Amino acid sequence: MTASRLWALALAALLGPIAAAAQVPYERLRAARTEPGSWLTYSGSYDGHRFSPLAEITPANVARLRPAWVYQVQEPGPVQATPVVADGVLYVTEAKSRVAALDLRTGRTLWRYEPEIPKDVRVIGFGPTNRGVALLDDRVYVGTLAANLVALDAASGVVRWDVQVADNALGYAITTAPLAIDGKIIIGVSGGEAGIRGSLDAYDAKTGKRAWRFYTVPGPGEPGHESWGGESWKTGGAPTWLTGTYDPGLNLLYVGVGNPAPDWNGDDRPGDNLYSCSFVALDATTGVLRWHFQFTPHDTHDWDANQIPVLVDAVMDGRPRKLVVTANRNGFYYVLDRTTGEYLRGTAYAKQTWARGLDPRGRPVVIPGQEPSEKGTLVWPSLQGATNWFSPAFDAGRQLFFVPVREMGSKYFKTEALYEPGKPFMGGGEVVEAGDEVYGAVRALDVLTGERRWEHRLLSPLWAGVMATAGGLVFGSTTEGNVYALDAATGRPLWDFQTGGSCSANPISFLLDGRQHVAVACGQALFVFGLP
Amino acid sequence: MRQRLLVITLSLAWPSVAAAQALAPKPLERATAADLEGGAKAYATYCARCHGFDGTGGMGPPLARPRLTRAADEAAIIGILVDGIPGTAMMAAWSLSEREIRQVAAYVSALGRRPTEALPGDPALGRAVYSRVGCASCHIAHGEGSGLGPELTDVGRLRGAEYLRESLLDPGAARPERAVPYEPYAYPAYVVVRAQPQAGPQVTGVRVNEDAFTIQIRDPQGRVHSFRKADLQGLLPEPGTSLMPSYRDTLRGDDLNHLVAYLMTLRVER
Repeated sequence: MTASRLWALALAALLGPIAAAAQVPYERLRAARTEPGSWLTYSGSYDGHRFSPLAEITPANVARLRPAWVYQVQEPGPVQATPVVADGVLYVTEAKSRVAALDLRTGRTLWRYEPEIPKDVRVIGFGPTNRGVALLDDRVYVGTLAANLVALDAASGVVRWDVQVADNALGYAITTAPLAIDGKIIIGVSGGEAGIRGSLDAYDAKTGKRAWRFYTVPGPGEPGHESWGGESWKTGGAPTWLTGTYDPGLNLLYVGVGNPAPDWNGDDRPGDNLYSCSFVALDATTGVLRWHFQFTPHDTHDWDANQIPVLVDAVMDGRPRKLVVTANRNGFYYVLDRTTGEYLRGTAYAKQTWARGLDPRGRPVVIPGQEPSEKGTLVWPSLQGATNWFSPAFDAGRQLFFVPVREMGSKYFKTEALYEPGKPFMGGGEVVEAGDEVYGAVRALDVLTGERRWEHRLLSPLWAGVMATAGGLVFGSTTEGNVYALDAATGRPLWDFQTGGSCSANPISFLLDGRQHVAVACGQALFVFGLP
Repeated sequence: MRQRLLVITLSLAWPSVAAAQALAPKPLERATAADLEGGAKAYATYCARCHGFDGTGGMGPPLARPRLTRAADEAAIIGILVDGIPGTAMMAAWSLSEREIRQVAAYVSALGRRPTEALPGDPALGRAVYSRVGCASCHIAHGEGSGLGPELTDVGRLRGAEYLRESLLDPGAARPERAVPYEPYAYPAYVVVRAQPQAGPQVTGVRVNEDAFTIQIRDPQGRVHSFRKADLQGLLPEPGTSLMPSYRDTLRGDDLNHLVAYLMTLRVER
């Protein structure tokens, strides 16, 4: 043994846990709620609540909240990532799949990972964004625009393995944060505007070997295949571009599936187009479909169901139930049984003009003539939906579901759509409605009925998520750059801070030196706030 | 060997120029109907999702404008198509052919082009009217005047004669816009608002900026008042009104035509 090696060993022994890389075993992820000082997964916990049990910041003191530090990204571009926090390190992603590991106390960079993204990378229908990483054991996992999944050493950012998930030449890309479960990394794909055949994959966390793949568009002989006319299933879209949730007890993964392709011209894909615009529940060990629920059959408005499936345990009609709830992009709020997929209840939570309501099985009763047309058809909500990928939050104590809303309509147009590999495949577009009826809002819904308890109006339709805390607050941010806190009981605004850049990310909360902090990205920077 | 050396020397001397020339095609000299049709088709496929089916914007900024914030001319539009805009969702249009790029640029430029209008007035006489009625007391044109109202330096290109005529007769009907670098990309500008603080006098002026929690108002004296909305007793926007008076009774005879003709000459040539 050389002297320097001896020195290194001695040093390691001396520093002990301080210098140790993040060790985030599956057990920590599963019990994330019992570790409120960290923020270990995209939604803070497997159930997707985006709820922090920390209660130091309250309606009484939140007015004194102030920035602790600001991190400005090195890769130009808006930050849409949810950071994760473990063992004194904050991991955030930037445009073009960059990862930055930051010292939690100061925001100073510990390491960076910058994958090579070719100039001609196919990014079809969205920007070169990334929404975050997953932690498991001593590794950090990130998906790339070039549709690779990469495992990094948490201490150094050095690549452990790098595998291709799908072929970017065909329009597959990754912007979503992976989900880590016991020994597996779950990752979805973007490409709904490129006529991909959507899928969700699981990879062995140690080796990068693919464990299973679930196609969101069933192939010949599989149930649901009959919901695609002709050969349309081959280019059916149905991407999985947002992180799902997980029930370890049922061992089921819940994932939202995006629009069928082409988006606005459904002529060549007659049928319901399963499992587009659906939630799917998959066996986490095998990837086998357990149930599905389709919110918008045969969608022609681009209303992806890529929202967070929020898992709720509650007594409903006198009976304890395991539920999954969601405010869908199509303007309706849904309550489903998460063991069986049974539809229990649903109601509109925003202005919608395309359906008379939901039938007893939760299928929309569609008003005829609302499809996109050559001359344009005015429909609410707009293409970007009554909400979108940014996260809702759930406060189990109050039984309130908080949803960031976009009140906006669009004229939908339809054109011909010709599939060419790796090129846009959309068949139309929108012209957004302007005017006084267009605004943003945070709404608190009764989680079991969807009834509105309060609303806080904001200037423009939102692009940013919310987080609830045990302190009785709802944090969020606006298109105009405000970060704000609302009273969870009433929706009354209690604090706001102008960041100077447009916000399109989700907040998180954690402990820094034993004190509660809140972090959210706005513009091209990450802001961390704490009490003085 | 000598030949090889020469090639190496040349390639060392010329790489950037050669690359730039290869990457950025020149604008079409004259876009034919077929070019515009080709441009429209490529626009619908590649651009419409973000910029709106008709160029009026959406997740991306509107392009149906006579002057684009980031592109002064068609060559600049081509530059953006080739390189993208770093730090935004606007990626380089790698999959468009050179011909498609030129056609899309021609189509996008045509989206915001205004039809030629008949101008019955005399610009030279209009210039005198401009001085006489005191337009410069609220507007800057080519660096001269006061900046309370919208700048008029390029107004001939940005607005048609009909719009200018209507604005002079009924200023409240005008719909000036202010560009913002995020959705919805253009906010109504010069909207008259009345703010009543808890204590102190009411402030009437034009809204300069606003977010969910604050508003900034410029009063007719040019002072900026910044309020937290929570501190106001009342905040009343007065849409359809303007701080600019109507010139319906001021501009007699052909003076209105002359003034409009003069305003239409105000443009920054490129």
